[in-house]
Amino acid sequence: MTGWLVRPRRPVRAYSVLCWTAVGLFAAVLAAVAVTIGAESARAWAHAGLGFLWSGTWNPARDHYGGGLLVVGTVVTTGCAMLLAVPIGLGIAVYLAELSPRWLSAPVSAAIDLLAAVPSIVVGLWALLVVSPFFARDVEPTLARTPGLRSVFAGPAYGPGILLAAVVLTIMVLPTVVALSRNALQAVSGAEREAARALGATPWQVVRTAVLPAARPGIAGAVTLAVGRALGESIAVAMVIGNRPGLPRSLLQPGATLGSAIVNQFGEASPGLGESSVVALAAVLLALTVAVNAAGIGLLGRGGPPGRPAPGPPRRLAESPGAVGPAGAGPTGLVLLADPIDAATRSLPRRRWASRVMYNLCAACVIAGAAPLVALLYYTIARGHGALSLGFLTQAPRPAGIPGGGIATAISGSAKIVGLGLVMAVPVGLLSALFLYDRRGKAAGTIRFGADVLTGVPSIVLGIFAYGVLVRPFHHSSTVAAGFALAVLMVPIMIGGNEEALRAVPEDLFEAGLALGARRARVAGRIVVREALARLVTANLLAASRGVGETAPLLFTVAAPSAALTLLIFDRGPQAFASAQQTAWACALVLLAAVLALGATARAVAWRLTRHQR
Amino acid sequence: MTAVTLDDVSVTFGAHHAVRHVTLRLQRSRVTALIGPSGCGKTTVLRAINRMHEQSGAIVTGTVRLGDVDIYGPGIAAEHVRSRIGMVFQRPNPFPSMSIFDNTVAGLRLAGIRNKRLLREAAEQALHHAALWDVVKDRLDQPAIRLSGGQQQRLCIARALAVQPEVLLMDEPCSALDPIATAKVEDLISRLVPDVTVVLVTHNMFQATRVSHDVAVFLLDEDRVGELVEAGPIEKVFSSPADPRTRDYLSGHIG
Repeated sequence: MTGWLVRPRRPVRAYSVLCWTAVGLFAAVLAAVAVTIGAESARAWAHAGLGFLWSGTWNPARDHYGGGLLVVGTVVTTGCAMLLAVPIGLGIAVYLAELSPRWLSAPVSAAIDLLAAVPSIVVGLWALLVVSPFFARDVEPTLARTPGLRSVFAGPAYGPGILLAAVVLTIMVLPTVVALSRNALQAVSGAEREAARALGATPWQVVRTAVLPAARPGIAGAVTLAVGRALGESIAVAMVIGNRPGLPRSLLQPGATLGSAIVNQFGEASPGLGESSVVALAAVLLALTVAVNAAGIGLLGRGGPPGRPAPGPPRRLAESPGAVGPAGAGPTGLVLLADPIDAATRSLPRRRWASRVMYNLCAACVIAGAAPLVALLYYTIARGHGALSLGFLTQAPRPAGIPGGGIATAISGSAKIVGLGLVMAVPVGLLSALFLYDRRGKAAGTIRFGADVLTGVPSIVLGIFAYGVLVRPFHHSSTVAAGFALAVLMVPIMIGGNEEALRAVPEDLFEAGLALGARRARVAGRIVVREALARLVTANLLAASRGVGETAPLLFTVAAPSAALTLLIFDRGPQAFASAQQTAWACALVLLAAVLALGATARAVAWRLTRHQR
Repeated sequence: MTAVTLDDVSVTFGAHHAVRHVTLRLQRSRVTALIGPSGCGKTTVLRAINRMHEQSGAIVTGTVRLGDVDIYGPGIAAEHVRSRIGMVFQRPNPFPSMSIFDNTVAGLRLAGIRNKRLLREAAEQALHHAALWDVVKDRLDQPAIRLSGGQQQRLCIARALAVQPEVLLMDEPCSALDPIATAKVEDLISRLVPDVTVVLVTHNMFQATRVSHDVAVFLLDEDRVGELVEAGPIEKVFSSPADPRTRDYLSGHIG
């Protein structure tokens, strides 16, 4: 009998082919993004040359296109946002990882996750309708009167402007800074904390001496990825920055960024050079964010302490057993030069005071981070719930300014687009992750890096990409194109999440499968996927919730604003009619509920999993 | 002369008793070994002596006195206690981001000492004291983690000594080291007294015999909670234990 030697070849080959196909598709999309953006913007580059990067005029009437002022606007806005987000985010991360009482750490972390889940369009709506009037009336005049700040905050207080955009960006990148720096802080080994503590360090001294230095690469990576996110955020910024390119002389003046200009110019750009020039803006944005994100990924990859050399004494030196100290030393070499204990005692009140101050500063950061979240949730619920009724949810929208009507088409449209996106993204995401799970070679590394980089590509760029490959060639917008744009956005998130889920399965289960005589691919496909199922579902749900809240990819792929929730908010929010704003708030509430429901489901699945494992 | 007095000390983690009713005097300028099987609360008691357990949510009852000061008393800062009672851990834990020199004076810098000459001299002394000076004097600004495991542990001892504590707690300081490095650290421990009072947790009876003057034996009681069974000079406890459980334990290990 040799039957047992026969291997089940066919299913394995099919599986392998599927994986390769998925990865090939993903790689093709990755390449296509670069090629499409490059090809579509070629005409603009040919027309303006590299001068496009620094020429400041954007005048479609005279065919003069330059992105210089937009690059400046993007850098200034992002810079201001980071000035706010880095200290506040680091304060929150230190508080969560080091200083907070244990019972408080979980709810604060949950709040940060919640903030990360809020769609940027909702933040934009809230900033435009709530924060902007408040800034124009109270905050900006106060800043303009404050001595020392006067030159930075000069000019009339409009509300919308660079400052407001920076605040919005701060809110949007804060979760990134917090979550990634907290991970970096928590990865520092307990041994180093204990070492500092055993030397008599105060809680803050433990953080400063033992934790922050060791976490520095991780924190640098967190900040870099946050910069990448801030550079690429377009929709919320477009709603609040005022959209007037100019050299920023005051933070109160309106400005424009690459992202906000794409949002505003693409729809009305003339075919040909005009359109190509907007795509050139997207190309600049793409290059900028890819460079920044690649740097961030590199920094995060290097996280942790510098490499430990191989153990064992590198060289043996004769060590005098009775090492005698310097002249005047006692029998064991210990002389009281100064009295360190005395110094420690004398400085202790000051050190404890400093520790206390830092603790309170970090706690203040938590409040500063939580306040916008609370305000945002409050206003969305308070202003949105009034319009909600069964009729509102089931009737088609009426044109802006005409009261009545509902948001039925927007809900069904959003559902269709996201559903289509999921149908395209889920198989590719899962199979690509399986491909990565079992391969450690260069190909896997490249794909993983590509997924990480694509995760950081601004969604507005992906929207332009989908427009270039699926809308313009067929001469009309379509749900398929929108779904495709969302799929491109979700796939890299899914690949990352899925691979993490697969890796969370204990290695010995994989080996147990191998020991049963199954092939690696088969074990990965059958045993590991089954064990990781709950985590896989969680990862895909979280990716879906990102997709639901996206606006930018739909902007150029969907025909009418009434065909998606996020677009309806973007269309109605800035209008002056109360009924239009009410519709926007109601959409925001529905959207927020959908995103939170997806997130909560994901977490419930994960929670069930851990309970089951216990 | 008593350096540290433990009076009816119990440590609980939530509802779980780790060790209870420990009454023990640690003699000044001597090495006291805490021995016993794993899980019997040796390390827990050790960490109660410099209040390292507060961070992990343990509750310590009873009194621990350094000299005649209750270290858990009102107005006594944990940081203050720890600068008088130093600690060396199981695994060498130099700060990876710091040089050898910076590691050695980390405790002094934490105490607010900035004078460069003073730090330099203190570092040299502490490294001499830890028998590490000759090895590292030419590369003080290299990262501490370039040192071998045994050298790292001696650096950690130097770091603790630089603060000039009265008591040094050592939690199985050789368990992560090879035999040669272990011998060097043991040699070092013997030479720390009389300047410093050493409390050493070890599960190695031979090590206890080699380096310590006094010994305290911990075992699990019938509720599987750690308790102190017997304490005294090591020759006496090892040759004629007063408690039959000590005898059983010792004969199981070294008989």
